[in-house]
Amino acid sequence: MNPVPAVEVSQLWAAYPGYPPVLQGLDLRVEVGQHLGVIGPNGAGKTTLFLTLCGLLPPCSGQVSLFGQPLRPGQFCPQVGLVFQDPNDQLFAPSVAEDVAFGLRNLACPEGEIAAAVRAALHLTGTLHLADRPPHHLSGGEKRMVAIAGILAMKPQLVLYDEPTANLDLRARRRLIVFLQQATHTFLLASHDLELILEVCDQVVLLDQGRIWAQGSPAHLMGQADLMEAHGLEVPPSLRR
Amino acid sequence: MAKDEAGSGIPCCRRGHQSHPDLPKPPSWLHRWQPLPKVLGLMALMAAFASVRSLTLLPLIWALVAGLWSLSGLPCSLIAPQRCRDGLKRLAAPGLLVAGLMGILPFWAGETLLWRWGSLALRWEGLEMALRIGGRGLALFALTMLLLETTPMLELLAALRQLGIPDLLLELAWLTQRYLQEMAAQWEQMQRAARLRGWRPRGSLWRPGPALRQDLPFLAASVGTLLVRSYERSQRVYQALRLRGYGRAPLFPTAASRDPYSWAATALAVATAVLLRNADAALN
Repeated sequence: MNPVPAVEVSQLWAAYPGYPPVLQGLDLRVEVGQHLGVIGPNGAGKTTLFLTLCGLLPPCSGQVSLFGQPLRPGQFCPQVGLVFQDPNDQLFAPSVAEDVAFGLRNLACPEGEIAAAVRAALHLTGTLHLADRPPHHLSGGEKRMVAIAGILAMKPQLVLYDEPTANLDLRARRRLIVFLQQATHTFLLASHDLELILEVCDQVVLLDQGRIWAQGSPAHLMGQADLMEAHGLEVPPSLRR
Repeated sequence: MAKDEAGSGIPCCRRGHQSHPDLPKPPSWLHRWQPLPKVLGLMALMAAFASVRSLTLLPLIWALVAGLWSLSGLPCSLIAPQRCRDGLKRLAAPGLLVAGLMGILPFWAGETLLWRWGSLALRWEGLEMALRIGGRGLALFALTMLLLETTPMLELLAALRQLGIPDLLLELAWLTQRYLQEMAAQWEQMQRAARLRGWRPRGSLWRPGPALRQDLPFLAASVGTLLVRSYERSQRVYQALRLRGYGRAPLFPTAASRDPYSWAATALAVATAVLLRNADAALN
């Protein structure tokens, strides 16, 4: 086990202003290179956890460390990327290539390097042929992959995927699964698509009411009907006997 | 009209992006004119057009506009009936004002009578004023169209940045035009959903009355929802921008324009503008 984890969270409490806490004393450890699935019912705190991990939502209390360094909320943290649930929230530039280059320009990369990195990220996500297209003209699946390319171009060490298969058709979903299976970066993936978690994650945590109730291998944890039903979830079809 | 694959329902030609996606992009001379010199050249022409007072110069102005339009390679369908109707719908209020002004001026301003029918009198000064306003306005509109249709939006904003327009204003302009279209699409979608559940617009803003008052609760609720949704969307967009380091580098990177042909074209445009000004001064 790597002595420095990618993510270390202890006793994390987080809330939106004027509302009761969503995360209630959450503890979590994610190793470098791990592909961790986060499952739980609606309102469990999955998106809140992600917003806290990338520094957008300051915690009420508790410790968050990324790669051994304490997280400083509100500061630009290029080692963490968040892929939003709706790719339309992320895509704003007039062309796909410009959108992918946006983060790199903010990292003050030289233009030559930017062009190469944009090409590499688009190639990795299978969207190189879309480089000159306006992002708003793409299909849902293409938008998703371009949004991922925009994050990966910045070479983050940790990527947070929030419901990445939402609104994707079967072909686009399959393309995303293949991409995630081949991914070498550490990632956390929150989804209601339990079959996706089974295919791409090596560990899974069950989050409910702002706390982690169980952690283990996806097949083992999601195969426990009692545990799943107690938290408003179902055993995925491929694990039913 | 082309729609996107995701079915957002926004016609391509209404979106902010590089010049019309549903038009072929010929590497025309005007497309190759680099953004910064092009903005300077066209602005010089616009300033000259706006200051022309002599009616005799109007045909020359229009010949210049027609020449530039033909150099741009843009199809005339841009001003074809369908597009005109679409454009006029959006320009209904200001268009009516200008048309009304042009219709009234010849019968209202001036003293030199050209024709009289009862109390209706056509006067030369008013007619001259209407022709001047209409002719110059249309020429300025055509030049603006040329600039927007032949220059990718991002490059245009970068050129404006080089002219000293603050980054914040340009970013606001870019994001506003980008998300106004999103809001318009959402508005259309909400109306479509309401129609599917039996709602029919009974009144119109142009014909206020009891029918419109019946629609008001729905319209008010829709606008309220749209504003709340837009606010939430803007927050998520801002979060996404911040996560990718928004604010650390300009949104519109600028590159020095060294194309000698572009600068030569700008010099030609400026010279034409100066000639027009001088000719106008001589004629007046």
